[in-house]
Amino acid sequence: MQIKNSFIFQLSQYIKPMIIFYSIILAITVVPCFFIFSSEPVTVMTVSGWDFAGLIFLFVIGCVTTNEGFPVHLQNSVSRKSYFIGKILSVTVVSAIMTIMYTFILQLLFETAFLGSKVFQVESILNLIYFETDKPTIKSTLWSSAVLFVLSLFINMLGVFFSGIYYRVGTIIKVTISAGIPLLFLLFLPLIDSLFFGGSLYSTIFEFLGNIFGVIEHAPWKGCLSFGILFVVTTIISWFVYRRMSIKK
Amino acid sequence: MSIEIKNLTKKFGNVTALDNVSLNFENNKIYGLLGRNGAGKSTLLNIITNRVFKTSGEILIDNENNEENDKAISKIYLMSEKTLYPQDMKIKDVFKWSKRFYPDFDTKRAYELSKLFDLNTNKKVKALSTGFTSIFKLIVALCVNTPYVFLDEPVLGLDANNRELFYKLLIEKYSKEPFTVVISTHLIEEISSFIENAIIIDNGKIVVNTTTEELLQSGYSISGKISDVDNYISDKEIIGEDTFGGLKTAYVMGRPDADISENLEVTSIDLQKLFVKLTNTREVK
Repeated sequence: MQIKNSFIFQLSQYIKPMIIFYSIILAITVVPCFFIFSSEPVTVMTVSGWDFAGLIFLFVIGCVTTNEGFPVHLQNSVSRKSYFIGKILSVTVVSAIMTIMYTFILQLLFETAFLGSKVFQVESILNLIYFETDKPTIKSTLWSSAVLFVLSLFINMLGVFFSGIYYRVGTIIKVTISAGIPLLFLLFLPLIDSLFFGGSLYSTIFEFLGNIFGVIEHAPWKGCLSFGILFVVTTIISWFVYRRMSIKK
Repeated sequence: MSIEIKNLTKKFGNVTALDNVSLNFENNKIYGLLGRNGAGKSTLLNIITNRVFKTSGEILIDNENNEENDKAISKIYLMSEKTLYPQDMKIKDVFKWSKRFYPDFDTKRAYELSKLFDLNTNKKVKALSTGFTSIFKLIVALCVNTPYVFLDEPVLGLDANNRELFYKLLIEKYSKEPFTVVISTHLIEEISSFIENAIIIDNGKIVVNTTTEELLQSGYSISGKISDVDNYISDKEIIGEDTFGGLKTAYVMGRPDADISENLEVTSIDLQKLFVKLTNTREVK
């Protein structure tokens, strides 16, 4: 019973930010369309990266929901186990909603609405990665959506994991993580790579990632499988973070 | 039907917050959980409600282990000093969610009490003053209808009128449908008239666990000239002394002697005085 209540509460935490997110997306997409239609000659507008914008949103929202969501569950006598199951369910439903919104509402609807006038094109980055085409087919759209859904699950759960870590640790460790991770990947590793490996370290890493995520072979099923495994692993690790969480002093 | 705490110990690093605590909260009684700052009262309540993990020991809520047990812990509502509701949540939403998590929550009564306390339910938690923050949490506690309600510093920031109103409502509710109430507060005098049992916790240990009546009868104060009082108390168990000019008041455990000198005055000891004397290890010189 408390799992259902927790799920509904956590889902409600996502609703307001999602409305704001899609309002912004629609505003920055629809408003320019009016100018395009009224301009002579009619120009073609290409929108790219909506799928990745959604992923960033999911990561951020995953990061911020624990701080307020967890204490209110303790207040309402919900165990950590029920809270975490509610979290997994809400992450799954939100990822599904985001994928559906992107695929069927934003991508297909806009494509259909504006296809005749050829002024509006939506580019899916996943489509470009896995199918090397900016003209999506039903097959490519469905595969891209599948990858996007599993990727969304992983990214959202990654946010939940960091959120749990941030909840448990002190300010010094928080700052170390916040500054350390970007510094490690954007400064130190590239520096070490160029100084000692002649750039081969990063190219090896990218090649490895490209292989396991099916980018090199253009195999979206590999992407689904790998991101799915990452989601499961992140969920298990997150549970170890959440299962001993207490009320903050 | 009770909450049983067996050999409970909680350590924070090297600090022992609760040291082998064993006690029972029986059904349909009002308990006063008394202790000085840092004595371990809030830690005890937080462990019972599964908000903080214990180091060792066992807690049974109606014979069920409390740890990660939704069924057991949902029988308790803990109104804590710290506000755990989201700061951006409106009070009416607090009521809405309370109803969802505690199906017996009386929403209609919550709105009635909000009117009585003059609480604007459209306000967000963060917009409330300390007093009104306590009020909204008290309203939830009074309407939640769980078998056990724990109140940790319930009247923090409340003015005298609202404190009186709260005590009145609590007693009214308890009279209609008895439930177990545990009140942890520093305002001992205000609750002394209606708590049935007093539990005094000091440095993580239970030093007193008895009925209020027994506790009040366990000691008395005796006043008079210093020499007379000193003479009287020479063979008694003293828990404290106050000296003012040539007069002295001593706080004595046990029952007064039958043949007390006319020069000495015997009075009953009040709960607060008894508490202070029992827990005071830092006397003012």
